[in-house]
Amino acid sequence: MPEPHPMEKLNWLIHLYHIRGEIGPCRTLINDEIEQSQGKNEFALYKKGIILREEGNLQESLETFQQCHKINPENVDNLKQIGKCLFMLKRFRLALEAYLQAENAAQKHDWEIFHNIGESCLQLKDNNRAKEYLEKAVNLGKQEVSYNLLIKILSKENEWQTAVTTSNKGVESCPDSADMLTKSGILYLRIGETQHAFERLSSALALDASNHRALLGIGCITQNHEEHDVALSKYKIAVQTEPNSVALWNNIGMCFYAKQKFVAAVTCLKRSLWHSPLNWKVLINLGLVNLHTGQAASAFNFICAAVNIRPDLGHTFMLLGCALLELNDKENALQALSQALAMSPDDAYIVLNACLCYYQTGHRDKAAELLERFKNLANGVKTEELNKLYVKLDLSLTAINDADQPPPPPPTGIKSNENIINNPDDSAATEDTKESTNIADMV
Amino acid sequence: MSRSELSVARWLDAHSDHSAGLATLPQGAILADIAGDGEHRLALLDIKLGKDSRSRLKVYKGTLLTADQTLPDVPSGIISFYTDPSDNKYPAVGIACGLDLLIYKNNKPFFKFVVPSLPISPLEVDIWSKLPDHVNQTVGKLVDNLKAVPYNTLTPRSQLLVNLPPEQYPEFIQNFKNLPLKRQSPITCVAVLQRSSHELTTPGCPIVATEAGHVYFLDPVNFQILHQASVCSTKASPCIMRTVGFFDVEFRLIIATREGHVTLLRRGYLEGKVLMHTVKDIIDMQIVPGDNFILLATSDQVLTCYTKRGNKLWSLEMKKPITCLCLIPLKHLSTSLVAVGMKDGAVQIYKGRHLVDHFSAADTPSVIIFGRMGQEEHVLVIITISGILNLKILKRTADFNLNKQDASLPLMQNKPLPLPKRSKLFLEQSARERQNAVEMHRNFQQDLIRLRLNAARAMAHSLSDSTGMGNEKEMVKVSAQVLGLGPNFTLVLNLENMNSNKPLLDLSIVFHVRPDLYKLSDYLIPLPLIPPGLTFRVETKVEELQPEMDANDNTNVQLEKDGQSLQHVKVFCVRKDQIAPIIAATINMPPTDITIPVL
Repeated sequence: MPEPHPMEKLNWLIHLYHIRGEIGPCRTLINDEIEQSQGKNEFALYKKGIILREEGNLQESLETFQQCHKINPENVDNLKQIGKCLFMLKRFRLALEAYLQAENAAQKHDWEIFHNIGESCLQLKDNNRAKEYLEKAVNLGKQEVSYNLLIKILSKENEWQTAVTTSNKGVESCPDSADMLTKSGILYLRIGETQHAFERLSSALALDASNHRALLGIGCITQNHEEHDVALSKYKIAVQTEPNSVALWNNIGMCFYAKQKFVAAVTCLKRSLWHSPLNWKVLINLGLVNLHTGQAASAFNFICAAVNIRPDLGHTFMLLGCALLELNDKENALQALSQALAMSPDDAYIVLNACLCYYQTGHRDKAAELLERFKNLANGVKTEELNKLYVKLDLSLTAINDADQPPPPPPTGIKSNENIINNPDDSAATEDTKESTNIADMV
Repeated sequence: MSRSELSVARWLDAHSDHSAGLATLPQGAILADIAGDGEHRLALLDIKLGKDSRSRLKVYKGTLLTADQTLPDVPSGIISFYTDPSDNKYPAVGIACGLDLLIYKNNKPFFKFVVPSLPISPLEVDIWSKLPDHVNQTVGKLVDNLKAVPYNTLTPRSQLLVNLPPEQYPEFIQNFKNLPLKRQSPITCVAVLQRSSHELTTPGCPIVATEAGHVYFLDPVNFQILHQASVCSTKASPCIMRTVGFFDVEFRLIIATREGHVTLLRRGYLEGKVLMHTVKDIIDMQIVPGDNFILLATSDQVLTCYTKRGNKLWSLEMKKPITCLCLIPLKHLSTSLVAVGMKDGAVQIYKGRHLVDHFSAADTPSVIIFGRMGQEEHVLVIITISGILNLKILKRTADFNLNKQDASLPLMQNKPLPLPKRSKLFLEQSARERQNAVEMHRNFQQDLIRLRLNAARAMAHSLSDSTGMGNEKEMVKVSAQVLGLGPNFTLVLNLENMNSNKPLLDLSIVFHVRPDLYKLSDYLIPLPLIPPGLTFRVETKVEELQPEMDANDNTNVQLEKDGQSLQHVKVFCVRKDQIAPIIAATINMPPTDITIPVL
């Protein structure tokens, strides 16, 4: 009888077959090796477990790894794989235990274990512990996945500043990752540092010219600077790779709106709404465009839906009031606008629109009071349209007071003006939409 | 000129052997002047795993198979190197086979290097020294002691022994009693490091790496170990090694491991330094000469380039999984290209991160090597997974200057948005709305309120009248059957207790009919206990009362009210002391054939 061969003899071949995707021969070889070693070949079993997991047989895979762990309890890899299987089976607590055991058994710090502990903690809603471990993982491994997860947690907790710092570190350690650059850019946008955001997003685009999220970010910045054609050209590229994005179609729609192409705007916004029927920002924008085109009945329905989704915003109520005013339902309009006023008493648009409504319903005193309040508001928030409307309202009110006569019908110009007033508000909505949707994508 | 035209022009298809039937893996083929006649040959390992077939070493001279010999074991790698500065006629061919590096010269066995044994647990040595002298009874005890040693640190011999049934112990021990214990780790990959000069015909040191993570640098003359190191501080099994530099001066040995680490060994290092760690498995690795950039192909279809210090430079995602890489050094163009073999036969050639050429092989390439073959300087050898051998010659005129950057971006910008055309209907409808907005709004609101009212009504109706065939909460199911043609019927009710734990108690059945239409034998039937999962059958006789024949019109009125037939029996299943029925059902009775009096 010759000297027996070491059982690890063909491990290299098992590995090679596996990584090159030659699963058939790989499985035959693994089974031969397991048989020859009477079930004691740890590596063959390990690979068997991995192949089973790749094929989706999580339970069998878990059992195989447990067998490996029994053969060699000192091998941390087995524990890590057990943890991974448990994690994929959504048994997060057990997975966490397996990883913690791996952490104790490992002689060296291992970013993968830290990362996975963090991920399991996150699933178990233990955000603080998750953050702690992910920070360790990030410091040790500097891997993009860990950065992404950490940023996700920080964004969830609204710690934007820390998230930005983390993403900056992430950009440093993965300088060629367009995703990381985009993420960083969007976080900058979130905290309002447009210049930094623009830089980051531009470098992301330099790496990946069709990265739709970076294009969306850049488009949004340019759109806010009222360069609608530039923004549109960016969105056009992004739409090719991501034709189903709510934010993209919303922003395209608002670009068209700004360019006075209302039919196109409605088409785009409706497409956006079709993808996400409960997106209140799209609903508001659609309502706004419809108000502008004189389709107050449609506008009312869209705005009404938005109000039902977000009953906590003054602006939605203000728009509802405007729509109702157009529809000659003055009582309800008054109610909606006073609700808006109660929610955000210092918003120039709301104050002036409410003033108009009170004026039209004959509450002259209240209108005069609101006009006074508008006058005292900070000048920075007043735009040209607002001021024009203010002047007209002021004139009509004083005229009434002097003559002490029943109020003349309000100048027709006011109504159209009132619609334009909503204009700046929409771009605010656009910006918000884009940002929040981006973050949703990221998460 | 399109790319495909260019690619045709660069390579000549020299030879293609579809029946070669080669099973060759990366690291399993070399081009070398094996016979020493200046005609470079292709030496490759043909791996066969079947029980009755052996792996072979095959040598091709041009397209002809000139040598074919069996190997004692499954080989993991092949290298060629010159041994002696005084004897540079034949290079030696080294083949890693299990535990040995077999060295051939001119196709003849020349030397065999065996990897040294790893430390053996003292307990195991002790036991084996005692085993042969012991009588049968205590052998079992000693073997049990062996089991206390961690299984993976035992020698293969002991591993086999502890798995044997006890009656075979003595024979097994007798067989091995005089042989020394050995615990060796199989060779997983081999490489050559030039000793002191770039000249190919000068000696190079073979390097052998083992499963356990040991790296042995061998002397090319006497095959003694010159230097020994380990791959890295943790457990790691090397799978690919690449060398740069000279053993005597300064060198870098880059090792990729199965665990995804890439480590660096330099002169004097006893332990590899980890350069980077990839999450995905490393499929192949190449070092680009000059900058010493490290190119990695990983199992997520990505080709990544790192600096020699392990910083990531760029990565490219391929459309298909990568199976192998091949370095194409072109001295006359002073550049180095990398061929990437992909699943289903695509081969792309990259210069840095730019694609410069592509062609397709017959199927998935398993190995691609480039070098001198025969008299031809630049030959690309492709061996596919299905065993096809394909030789391509690079044309002397081929140049790999970068094509112009493709202008896909402006094209994408010029594409208009996929917006539907504004339809006439849409415009008309919006115009209509603009005119009658207030009216439309009012009508809509009215209809909406009406709809809500109707919905609320329907809801209230269905709540008050618990008709239905089952009760979810009580888990009772009723099915009814009407037997007979009339005017006498039998109504059969089956009450099923669907609850698997609780029996049904205190129930009774109540029947409602129009007394002027039907007469029943029982109007109230108390039910006994229905055990879980069982059915109870209730029967009642129904007699249809013959209406007066003289007023035909009236009968119709009697049978229908509000358009609904009154010919039905209502069944209620009620519990004692409960107002609402547990379950209710309406059973439509079939009409009786009225016997028409014969005139």
